[in-house]
Amino acid sequence: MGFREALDSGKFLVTAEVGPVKGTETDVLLEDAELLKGKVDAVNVTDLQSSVMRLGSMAVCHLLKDHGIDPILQMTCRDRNRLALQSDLLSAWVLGIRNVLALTGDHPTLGDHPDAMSVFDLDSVSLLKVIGRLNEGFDMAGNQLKGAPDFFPGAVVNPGADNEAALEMQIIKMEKKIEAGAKFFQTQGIFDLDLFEKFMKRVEGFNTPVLGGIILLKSAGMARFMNKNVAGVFVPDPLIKEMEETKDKVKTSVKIAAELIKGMKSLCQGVHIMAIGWEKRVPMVLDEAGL
Amino acid sequence: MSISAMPPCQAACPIYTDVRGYVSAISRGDVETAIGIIRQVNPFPSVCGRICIRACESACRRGQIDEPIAIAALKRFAADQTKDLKSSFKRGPFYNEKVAVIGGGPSGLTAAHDLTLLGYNVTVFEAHKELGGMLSRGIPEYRLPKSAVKTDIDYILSMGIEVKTGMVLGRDFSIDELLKDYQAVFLALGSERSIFPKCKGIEMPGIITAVEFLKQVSEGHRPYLGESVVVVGGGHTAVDAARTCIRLGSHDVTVIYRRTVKEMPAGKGEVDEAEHEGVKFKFLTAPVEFIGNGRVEKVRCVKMQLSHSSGSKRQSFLPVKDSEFDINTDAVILAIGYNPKTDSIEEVEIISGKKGTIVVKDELGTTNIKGVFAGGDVVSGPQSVIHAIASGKKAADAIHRYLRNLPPKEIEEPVVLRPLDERIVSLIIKAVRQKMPMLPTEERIKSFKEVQLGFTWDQAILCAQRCLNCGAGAVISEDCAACFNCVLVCPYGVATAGEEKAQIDISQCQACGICASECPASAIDVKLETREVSRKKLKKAVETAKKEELKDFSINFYCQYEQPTGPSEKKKGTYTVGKPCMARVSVYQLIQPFEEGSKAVEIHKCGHKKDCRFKGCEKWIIEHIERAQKMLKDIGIDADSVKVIYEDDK
Amino acid sequence: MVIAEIKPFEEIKNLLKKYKKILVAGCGSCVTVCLSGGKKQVELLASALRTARKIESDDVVVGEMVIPRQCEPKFVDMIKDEAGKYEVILSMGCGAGVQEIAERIENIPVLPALNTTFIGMADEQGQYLEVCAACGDCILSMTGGICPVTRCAKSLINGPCGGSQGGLCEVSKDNPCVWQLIYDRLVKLNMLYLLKGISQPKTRSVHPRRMVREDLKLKKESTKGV
Repeated sequence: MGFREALDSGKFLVTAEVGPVKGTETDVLLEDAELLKGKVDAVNVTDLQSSVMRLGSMAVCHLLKDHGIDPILQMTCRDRNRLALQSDLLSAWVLGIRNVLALTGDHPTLGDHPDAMSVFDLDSVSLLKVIGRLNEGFDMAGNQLKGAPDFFPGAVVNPGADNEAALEMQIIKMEKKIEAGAKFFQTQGIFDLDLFEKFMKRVEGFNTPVLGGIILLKSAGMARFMNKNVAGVFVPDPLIKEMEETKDKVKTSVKIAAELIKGMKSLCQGVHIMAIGWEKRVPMVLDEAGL
Repeated sequence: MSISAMPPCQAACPIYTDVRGYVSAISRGDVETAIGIIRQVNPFPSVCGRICIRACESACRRGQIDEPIAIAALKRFAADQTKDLKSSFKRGPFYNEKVAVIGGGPSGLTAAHDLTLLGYNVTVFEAHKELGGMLSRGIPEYRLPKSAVKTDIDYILSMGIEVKTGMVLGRDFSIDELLKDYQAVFLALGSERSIFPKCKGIEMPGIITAVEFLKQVSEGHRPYLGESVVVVGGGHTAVDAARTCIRLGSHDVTVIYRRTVKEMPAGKGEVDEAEHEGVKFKFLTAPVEFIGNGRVEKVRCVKMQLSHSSGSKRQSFLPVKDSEFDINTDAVILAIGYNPKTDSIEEVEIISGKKGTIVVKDELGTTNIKGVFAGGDVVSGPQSVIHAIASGKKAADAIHRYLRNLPPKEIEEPVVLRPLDERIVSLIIKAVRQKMPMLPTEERIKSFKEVQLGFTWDQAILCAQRCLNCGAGAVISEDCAACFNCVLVCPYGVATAGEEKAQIDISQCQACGICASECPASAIDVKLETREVSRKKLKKAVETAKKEELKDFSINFYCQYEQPTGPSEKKKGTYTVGKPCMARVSVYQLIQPFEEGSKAVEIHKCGHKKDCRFKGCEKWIIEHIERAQKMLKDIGIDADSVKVIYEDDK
Repeated sequence: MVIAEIKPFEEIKNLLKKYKKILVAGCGSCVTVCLSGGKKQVELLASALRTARKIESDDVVVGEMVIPRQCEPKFVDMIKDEAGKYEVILSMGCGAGVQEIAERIENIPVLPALNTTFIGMADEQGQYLEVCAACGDCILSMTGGICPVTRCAKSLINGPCGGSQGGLCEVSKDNPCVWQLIYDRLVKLNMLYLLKGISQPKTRSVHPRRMVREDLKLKKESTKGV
C-alpha cells in the first residue's frame, strides 16, 4: 500500500527520513531503507538539508522506489527557479515518485557553500499551487501539458514556534498551504506533548492529517545544540537529564521516542521519525511504540 | 551693523554701539580691536566708560542668568589701555564747504568729529577757555578725571579741527555773520542756566547754584562752604555737589529731594556711594523758604507725599499740611535743573519762557533757519552724555545730506533678539560679575582722586568672557541638505527641523559651533568665528611657519576661553591657533596642516584649567581626533601626529 | 534615500595612482545626508589625497566641487568646462551620479569614490538599513508598510519560513524576522486578515529597467510650429 492509500485508510501513519550522502555512494542508505521496508508507510528524502551540498533527493527517491519503498520527495525553493522546479516535478513523476513535500528551504549561508546564490523564485505556498496546477495538466504559464502528474502534495508546519506571533503565523501559513493544495503535514521534532496537544486542538478544524515529528536524541549535547540552533525544537530539561545520566544512550533514546509516539497516537494522525544517522534503530522504536 | 538680529545691548544704545564686538575682542585680550570698534561710533570712550547711563546693561541678557556684563567698565578698560593712541586720520578736508560748530561740549565735538571724517572743514567755537562743556565743568574729578576727558578731546582734535575759544555767540558773533563764511552751522550750546525754586529768601547770600559751584571746583578752587550744607535736588548734579562738599571739608551735608529714591534721576548706585561717604538724604522733602539774617541760616522744608488725584493717571507729590520743619545750614546749593542760555540769540526759534530750548523740526536737529541745526542739551534740556553724542552724530549726518543734497537717511527699526528662553537660561553656567576695584573709603573723601579704579586685565577678560555673544550664533545657508545632524548634536536644543530645512533660532543659539563642524554640507556658519576667519587663522599660522622655513613645525589649537591670550609657553616651531571652542576644530582642520608639511597637530585638552563654558564639548574634540587619526593612518602618517596635549598647572 | 559609503582610502588612492590632476566632485543630495559625499567629505578626501601624495614625493593637483545633484544632466553640463582642466574625475556620488557624469563628459575618465549600497533609511544616527529593493511591484499595502523583499533574507512573500528563533532571522541574529515585524504591525493596525491571502510570486524585470511616463513625455507633433 502506498502512502496515499495508507492515509486514505485512516490508519495511524508512520514515515521516516533518510538524508543522502555527500557523494555517490548509496549502499548505506539503501541498507537503512531495507530495514524500514514494510514497517513504514513512506520514507522522506531530504533536499540538500541545511544547505549542505549532497546527492539529490530525486535520484535517491527513484532508487527507493526501485527497492519497493514509497518515497516522499522533499523539494525546496532555495536552489531552483520556477522552470527547474516544474521540470523536476515532471521528471520525478516519470521516475515513479508520487509524493512531494513542498518546503521553502534553509538559507545558503547556513550551509557549506555560503556564497551560493539563493533563488527563492517561489516559496512553499506557491510551490504547492504549482503542483496543483501541474496535476490539473497545466504549467504555471497556463500551457497545457502532454501528460499530467497526479502528485500527493504535503507541507511542513512548526508547532514549536517559540513565540505567540510566530506560532500564529505558522497556523495562518498552514491554512494557506491547505488552500494551495497541501494534503498532509509533517512537523518538526516534538518533545512537549502538552504544547503539541494545544496546537492540534487549534488546527483540528482544518481536517488535514498531521504527522508529528520525532527526533531520536543521540546525546545530551545534541539536545542542547538543537535547543540553541534549531528553530522550533525544544528539548525539555528532564529529557536532557535522562540522556545525560543514562548508561545506555540508545536504550534511553528509543524509550523517549517510543513514549512520545504513544502519546501522539491520540493527538494526531501519524508520526514522522527523523533518525539523523540512527536510521537502523527506527525498527526498535517502532517495536517499542507498538507500531 | 546687522539690523536683522540685533543684540539687546546694541539696540538699547542711542548710538547702536557694537557692544558684542568690543566685548568679544576684550575677551581675547585684544584692546586695540576693541577700541577701534568703540571709536567707530563713539568719540568719547574714556568719558562714556565712566559716566554713561548704560541702557545697554539694563538690556543685557546675561542679566537673565546672573548679572549683566559690566559693559561700561569694559569700555573704560579698553580706553584706558589705549589712551596713548592717536587718530590715524590724516586726510584733510575733501569737500570745499566749511561747517561751524558752536559749543565745544560732547554734542558739538561729536558733530565736529563726524563731519571731519566725512571730509568737511570744521571750526569749533567755544565760549569758555576750555573745551568739554559739562564734562570739564559739571562733573567732579572723582567721577570723571580731567585726564580722561583730555584723552578723548585730544584724540578728536588730532584729526585736524580748528578751535576758537573765548568766542561767545551773541556777544562776539551772530548766526547771520557765521552763515556768510560757513555753509552750515550746528548749535550745541548746552544747558547751564540753573533753575531757581520759587521760595522766599532765594536771593540771600550763601545760596549758590550747583553748576556754578562745580565749575569753580573744576577750575581748581576749593571753596569751603561751612560745616553744614543743604543741597536741593535729585539728579547727578545734586549728588555730585554733595560729595564735593564732603571732600571740601563739610561734614554735615544733606540732600533734600521732593520725591523718593525710586524717582531720583541720580539712581540708587550714586546714592549708596554718597551715603557711604557720609552724605545724608532726606526724601519726600521740599524747601519752602530760606531764612537767615544777612546770610542763609536755615531752610524751612515741608514733607511731601505721593497722592493720586482722582481720575488722573499721573502720580503727583504734594505737600503734607502742617508738616513744616527747619534744617540749620551754613550754605545751600541749588541743583534742581538747568535750562539753556539762549536769550541773546534772536535768529533761531526758541521755546520762550523759562525753558529757552531751541525748537527743532525733527530729531536730526533742523531749525527754522536753512543750514542751521541744533542738538544736545540746548534742544533736549539736560540729558546724559550719550544722548548728546547721539544728537551730535545725527546732526553731522543731517548737515552732510543737506550740503550734498542727498535724500534723508532711511530709518530702519532694528529687529531685536527676544529674551532667552527659561530652558536655555537653566543650561548656561553661572559666573559671578567682577567687582569694580574702588579706592578705600577713608581715602576717598580726602581728595578728588578717582574713586572707581578700573578693572585689571584678569578682571576685564573674565568679565568679557561672560558675554553670551547674543546673535553671533549659527546661521544655516541654502546648502542645507536637511539631514538634521545639527538637530541631533545641539547641546541646547536650539536647532530644530523646519518645514524644508533645518532651522536655528538665532536668539537662543549660544554660538558653541558644534553644529557647524558636524554639518556634512558645510551649510552652517557661526558668526562668532566664521569659517572664513577660522581658515584664515590657520592659513596664517601655516604661512608663518613656512616663512620661517622650519623643517619640523607643528600647529597647536587652544581654547580661547581657557587661555584668552594664548598658551603661556611659546615653543619654537609651534604655531598657535585660538578657537572660541575646541569643538569647532573640525576633522578637516586637524588633517589639513599635514598637506602643508606640518609634522604634528596638537590640541590643548578641553576643560583643563576651567570648566567648559558650553556643555560637554570635550567629547566632540575627542571624536574629531579619533576620526582624524584614522584618516592619517590610511594616508600613511603616524596616528600620534594628532594628539591632545596637557600642560602642567603653574 | 540612496545610501552609499566611502571606499577604503587605500583603494581610492590606487585608483588614482597615475593621475596628476584630479577633480573630486561631491553630490549635494543623498550622499550629503548619509554623510559620505557632501562638501565636508570632499574637502577631507581632497586634503587626504594631497597629503598622501606629498608623502610619496609625488605632485598632484586636487580640485574640489559639489554638484547639487549628480544624476541631473544639466548640473553635470554646467561643470564641463571646469572638469576639462583635470585628467580624471573622482565622483563622490552614488552609482547613478558616476554614470551620469561619465555619460555627459565622455573624454575624461570618471571613477567612483563610493560603494553604493542600497535604498535605505536611517534607523539610528550613522546607521542605515536597506528597506527598498526597487522591485517595481510594491506590496507594502499587504504588509503594514514593512518590506519583506528587502528585509527577509529569502525575500519570502508568503512568509515566514520555519527558521526564525526568538523573533530573529536564521541568517543573522542582528536582524529581526521581518515577518514577525509584519505580523506585529498588522495586529496593531487590526489588519491581520491581509496575511490570509496567498500572494503571487513577484514579476521579474529585465535589466536595465526603464520607466517611461507616457503622460509626461513631450509628443513629437506638439513641437512643430503651432
